[in-house]
Amino acid sequence: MIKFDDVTKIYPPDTIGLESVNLHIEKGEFVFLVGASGSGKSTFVRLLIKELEPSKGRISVGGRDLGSLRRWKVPYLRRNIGCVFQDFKLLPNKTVFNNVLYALQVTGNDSTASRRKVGEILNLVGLGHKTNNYPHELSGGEQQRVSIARAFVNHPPLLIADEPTGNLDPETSAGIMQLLYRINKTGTTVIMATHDREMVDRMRRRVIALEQGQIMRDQRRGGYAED
Amino acid sequence: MRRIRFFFGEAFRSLWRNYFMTIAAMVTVFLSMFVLGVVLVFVYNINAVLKDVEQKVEITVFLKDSATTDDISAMLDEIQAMPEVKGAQFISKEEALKRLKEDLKDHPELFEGLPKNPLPASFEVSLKDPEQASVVATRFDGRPIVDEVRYGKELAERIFRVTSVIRNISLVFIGLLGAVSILLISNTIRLSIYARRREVEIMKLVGATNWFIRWPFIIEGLAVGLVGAVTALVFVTLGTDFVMDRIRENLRFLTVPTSAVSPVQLAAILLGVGAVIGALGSGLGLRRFLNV
Repeated sequence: MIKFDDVTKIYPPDTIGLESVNLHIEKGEFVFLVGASGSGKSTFVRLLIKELEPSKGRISVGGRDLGSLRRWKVPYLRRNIGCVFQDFKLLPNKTVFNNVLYALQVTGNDSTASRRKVGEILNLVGLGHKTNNYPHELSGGEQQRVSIARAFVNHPPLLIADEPTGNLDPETSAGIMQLLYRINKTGTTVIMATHDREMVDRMRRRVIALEQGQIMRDQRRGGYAED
Repeated sequence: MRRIRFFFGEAFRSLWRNYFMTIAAMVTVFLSMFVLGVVLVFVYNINAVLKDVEQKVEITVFLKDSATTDDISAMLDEIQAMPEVKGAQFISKEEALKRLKEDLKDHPELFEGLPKNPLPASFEVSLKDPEQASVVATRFDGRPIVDEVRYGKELAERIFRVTSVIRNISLVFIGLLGAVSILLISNTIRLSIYARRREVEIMKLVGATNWFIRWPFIIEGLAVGLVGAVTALVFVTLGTDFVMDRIRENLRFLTVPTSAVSPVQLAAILLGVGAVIGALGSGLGLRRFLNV
């Protein structure tokens, strides 16, 4: 599904984002990306959606080499990668319903069927009663659920969550985790960057620990810290 | 079809939502198009007046009082046969006096106690090409019945010189004004896009293509440009009517054409320029924010 081949990212002039990273993530895996701020988690995520270009090395997603992917094709790559961010990144002027629908509209899907699909997924994340609210009327946890609904409405093969629980209280975070877990169960590969220690320890999934841009640990069923 | 409706919906929703920016942009377009419109009307009218003045260059051949009717009719035939001549008219002494009295009808005392008619008879010769005046005029030199030939040589040349200068200046002026309008409008639009750059970033992250993001913005720009231009058009049209009436009242000697620039032409220019600048301004203004 995802392959990093000796990937290095240096921010000019000489700040290291990632250094010589090699890794392989299989389809259907659930992977935690852990590490302190500045360890390279965000760089990793931004490289995957081709928001950044690596300084060295090759990245491939779903068998496609990102280096040779033309600029105008990037939107099509992103439609196959659902993204969830710490700050939700919802469109402030659209209702909950239209925020999720937008992800379908960009692919040219604006049919009655796609509207039904939006309704279904909002029910699934427990927001069926708030479809006509605007993002600022929702709590943080609710906003994050909207953003997960938007990321998943296309049923992408890959979902990336960059600190999705970073701004939420533990209880709400647990709900979000449940959601990601269920999404993973449908066969979608989930990569989640986090520094929520408890969560990682509880889930016992693959853990990739980054430190100063390098992989320090890659464990099948690990905890946040080394066992 | 659904997609087009979506783009228009997006555009008008955001025009409505960012109404302050919308109004700012519309006012900018309005002001630019208004000034452009006024200058256009002005230039068109000046041009029409200049053309009229140029047409007035004609030759006047003054005759000696000794000229007989036979001499006169023979010469008139001769003049009318000249290839450069468009038309020729004989003005008798009496006719000349009558015209002068007409022109000075507010001052009849000037003509009191005039012993005899002091004005000479003349031919008024109009030409197909005003610039041929000097060639035609020399043919009358030295004729026995001709007293003097006048064709306003200097005047004619000066008029031609001035008209070409005025035309060039107004062209430059229109060009500069166009450039200023484009800068001003695209800057305003860029500001409104800058305020929404986060939105654009999110759209890109969800996988929207550049054109998918761009179309609503272009439609917005188009709408802003058109509304601004239509308002300007209304004001320019009403304003010119008003001003032209004043000019006609006060400057009778200028035969100002009733409508030098057709309303359709003016509308086409202003609306066209407004729409293009609006659409281009927002299309190009967006460019910087699309590179995510």
